[in-house]
Amino acid sequence: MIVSQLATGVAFLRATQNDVIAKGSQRLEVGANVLEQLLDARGEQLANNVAILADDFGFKSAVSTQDTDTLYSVLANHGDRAKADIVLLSGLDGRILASSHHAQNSPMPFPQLFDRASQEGEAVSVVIAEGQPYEFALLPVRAPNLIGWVGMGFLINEAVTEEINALTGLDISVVNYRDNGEISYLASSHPEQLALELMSGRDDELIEGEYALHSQMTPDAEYLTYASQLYSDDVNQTYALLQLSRNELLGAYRSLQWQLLGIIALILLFTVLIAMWSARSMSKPLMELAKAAQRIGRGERFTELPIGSERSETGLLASTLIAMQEGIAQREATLHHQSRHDLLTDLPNRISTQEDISLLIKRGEPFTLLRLAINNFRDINDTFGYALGDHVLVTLAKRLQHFDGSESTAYRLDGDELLLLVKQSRSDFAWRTRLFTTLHHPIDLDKFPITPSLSAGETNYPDHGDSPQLLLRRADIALDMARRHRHAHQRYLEGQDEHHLRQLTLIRDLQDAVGNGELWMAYQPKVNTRNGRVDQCEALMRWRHPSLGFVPPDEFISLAERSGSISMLSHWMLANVCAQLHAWQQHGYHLSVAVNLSASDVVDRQLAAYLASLLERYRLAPARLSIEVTESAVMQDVDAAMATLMELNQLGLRIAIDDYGTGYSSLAQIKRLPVDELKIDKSFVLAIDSQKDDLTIVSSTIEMGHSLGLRLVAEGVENRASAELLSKLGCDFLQGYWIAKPMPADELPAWLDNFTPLSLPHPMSSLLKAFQRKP
Amino acid sequence: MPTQQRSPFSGFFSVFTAPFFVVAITSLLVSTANAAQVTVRSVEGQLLEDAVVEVYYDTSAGNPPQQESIYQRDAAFHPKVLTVSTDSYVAFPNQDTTRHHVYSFSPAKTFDLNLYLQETPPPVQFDRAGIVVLGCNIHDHMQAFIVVSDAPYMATTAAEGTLLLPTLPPGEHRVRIWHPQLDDSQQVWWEGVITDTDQLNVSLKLNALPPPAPTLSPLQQRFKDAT
Repeated sequence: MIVSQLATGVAFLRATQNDVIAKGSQRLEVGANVLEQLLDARGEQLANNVAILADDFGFKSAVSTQDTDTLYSVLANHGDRAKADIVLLSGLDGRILASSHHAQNSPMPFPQLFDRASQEGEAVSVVIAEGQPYEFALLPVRAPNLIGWVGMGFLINEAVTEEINALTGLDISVVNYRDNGEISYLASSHPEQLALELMSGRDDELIEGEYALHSQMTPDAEYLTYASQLYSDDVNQTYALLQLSRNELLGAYRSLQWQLLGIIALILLFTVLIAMWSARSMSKPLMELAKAAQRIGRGERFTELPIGSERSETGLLASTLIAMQEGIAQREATLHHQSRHDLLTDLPNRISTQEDISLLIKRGEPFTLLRLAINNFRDINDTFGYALGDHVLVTLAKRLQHFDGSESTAYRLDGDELLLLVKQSRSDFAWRTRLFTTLHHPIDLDKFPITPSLSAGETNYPDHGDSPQLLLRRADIALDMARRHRHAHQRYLEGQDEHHLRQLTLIRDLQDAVGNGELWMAYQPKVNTRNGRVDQCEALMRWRHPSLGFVPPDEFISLAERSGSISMLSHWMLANVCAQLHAWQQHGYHLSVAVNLSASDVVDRQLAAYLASLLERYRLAPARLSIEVTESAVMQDVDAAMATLMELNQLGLRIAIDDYGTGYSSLAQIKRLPVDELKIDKSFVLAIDSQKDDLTIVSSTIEMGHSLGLRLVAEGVENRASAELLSKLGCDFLQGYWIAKPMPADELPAWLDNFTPLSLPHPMSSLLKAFQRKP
Repeated sequence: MPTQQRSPFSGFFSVFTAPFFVVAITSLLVSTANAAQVTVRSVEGQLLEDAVVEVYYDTSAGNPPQQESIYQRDAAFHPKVLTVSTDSYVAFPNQDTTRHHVYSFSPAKTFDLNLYLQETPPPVQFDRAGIVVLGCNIHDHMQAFIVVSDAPYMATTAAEGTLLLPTLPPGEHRVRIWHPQLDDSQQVWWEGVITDTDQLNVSLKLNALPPPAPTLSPLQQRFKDAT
């Protein structure tokens, strides 16, 4: 604003100044015209005077006399009469006859003027005589023929300049410069000294035409100057310089300038005042609002901003800021709620769970966690679709939420898992009954009532841990236990967690066990009851964990099955056994080894090919290897297992059903499989010599197996009585500690070498059975 | 008759050699059976009236003085140019109703006859050869010339600018021609030679300032109308 005002002021002043200078220029040009008019008028007057002289008979008479003295007196007389400063008479050729300024017989001193007069009959112009400018008129003298030329002139002196000055108010100087730049004449309305100063050294500029076309300021910027050339020849340059002093020229402009400066100063003052007022009424509140906004950004809350009135802009801004703060707070609350709540059920989520548990632990209040899972949730989803599955979840969530009022809080952990935090040291049966009754109430799914089934794992604080993570994990372990046992409720038992951790360690370390050489195969001999010799072994996998020591095969095999690393173990085992068989074969021990396959092995369609490649690599006859699978392994996927077993059978491998009698399979089912042997579970064998029931079962099993053409193997033979009994019953092979414990491969040859064939009683109807066995 | 091509400048500049004085001459000698003849023109080709031609040749008989007159009528001299032999008398009778004041400041004869009307002043004798310029002191535009000559033959051209010369002695003769407009000083003559049979054509460059036009000023007009 200030800049624009200044610019406007400067522009205005400049325009005004230009205008003033333009007007001054006009005045100067008018002055030049006035000078010209004045000289013309005086020249004409002079010419008239000269004409009167030229026509004067007496003068003509005097001229004709050629008498110098007479001529001088006539010229002087008439010159004075005409108030001339110079007067001359020349002959026809211009030669001076008489002159106030020139010698007699000198050539015409004003050749330009004389030429013009010769052409035009008369001439009036400025001439230079003795370095001084004269307005001069030259006319012919006729008597009546042309007998000479007479001229008079007046000096262009201060009288002229004063008159011009009086008429126009302009300063005028008439100056003549010699060709050496010297001023030979100067008449000026300026004081003499000033005029001399002003005119000195100006001849070059003037000769070059400066100031002549248009007026301009002198270099010292003191005078606006306009030059009019009065006379010019090789030696003399005469100018009339019309000048306006800066003061006179810009006098009015100066006062205007001061007025304008005053106005601008006033405007500036107003501007500053307005800026200060605006700072007070606008900037300061705005600064405070900005600070408030920063504090709001840091989380502070204002209920009111004491800035401006409601109707002012800043007031409006302040209330907007407050509204924005409320909006932010609401959004924050929503975000906070969303970050801590499950979107589907609107129950607090896992994060909330941990926070709330931490809080209760910090307070030291006892509480109970009940981790709940919907047992048939997957079935519900599969059957009814995810939308209805969600409906079930939401319904259950609501039931949990409203179950116990403020005494309990419900959470959704993830998927189908819910959690109930109860402010009791532990749940009692009646409470749980009430809970499950509530939860198990049928839910109407698409007009189809479904009864949800839930299992719960319970942990208590402080009994089962002192951190949210520990309590939740142990509740999960308890829940897992409950689900595995298909119980509705399981409280965490001491040690479950340790067992769980051991399992995790084993699963993790099992990956590296093969590479670290921690796994090895043990071989347990089987005795053929017909000849009492050992020609078969069962290969059993052994794992010595570097820190946990010997790990039972049942434990790590089932873990391997659950963790998916069983296939790797089986492949290692098969390769190891085949290599061992090959080594024994090299040393003349022609044993047949049975290996155990897991449920996932028997559905592995690559297994047969792998085994075939192993047999080929170690140049083993298929009969050297037999397979043992449990009933349950086969029954998990009968069709796939059947296909694999058929392929193995085709390879020429013998197949035995392990642990026979513990499952639910019937012999009819077994019969469909390409099975050669049944291994009677050791639970029936261990006490066969004392338990009547076991004997009956084993006896009938042997009999039925034989009748189906299967060979029977008894495991768990721990004493001679059992061995003889089994042999009598017709069992084909015996296996157990009484014969030998499983032993490392390198110990077996020595054991075999030391083994004396057993002498066992033959079965009563061995012939018949033999017949039946080999139809 | 022999045909003679002569230099246009032959015999020129014998008297005056001022640089501004230039006379272009076309001198054509045409063989005719007739006597000599002079034609005077301006360089622009205009036939000049009132040109005075002098021919000098040896003769025992000089021209006797004459009695001539130049009268004034309608504020003008008549004739404008008069040639007389030396020692001739010229009278200046006034036939106007206004007075005249005839004067001359010419070196050949300076005189002035104060204002007179019917009473013609005594004739003036012109005893020196030369050009006498006549003026009237109260009528500036009035101008006349009397050429006072010692030449055996002198005459003034008529309007057609041609002058038929009398029979001249055989041989070359000096010839001078003057015209009022030839030069302001009235002292300049064209000079040449002529034979008894020459047809001389002369072109003169007229350098004199033309005299002011004889226009009547408003005052003169009023006065004239009043009479």
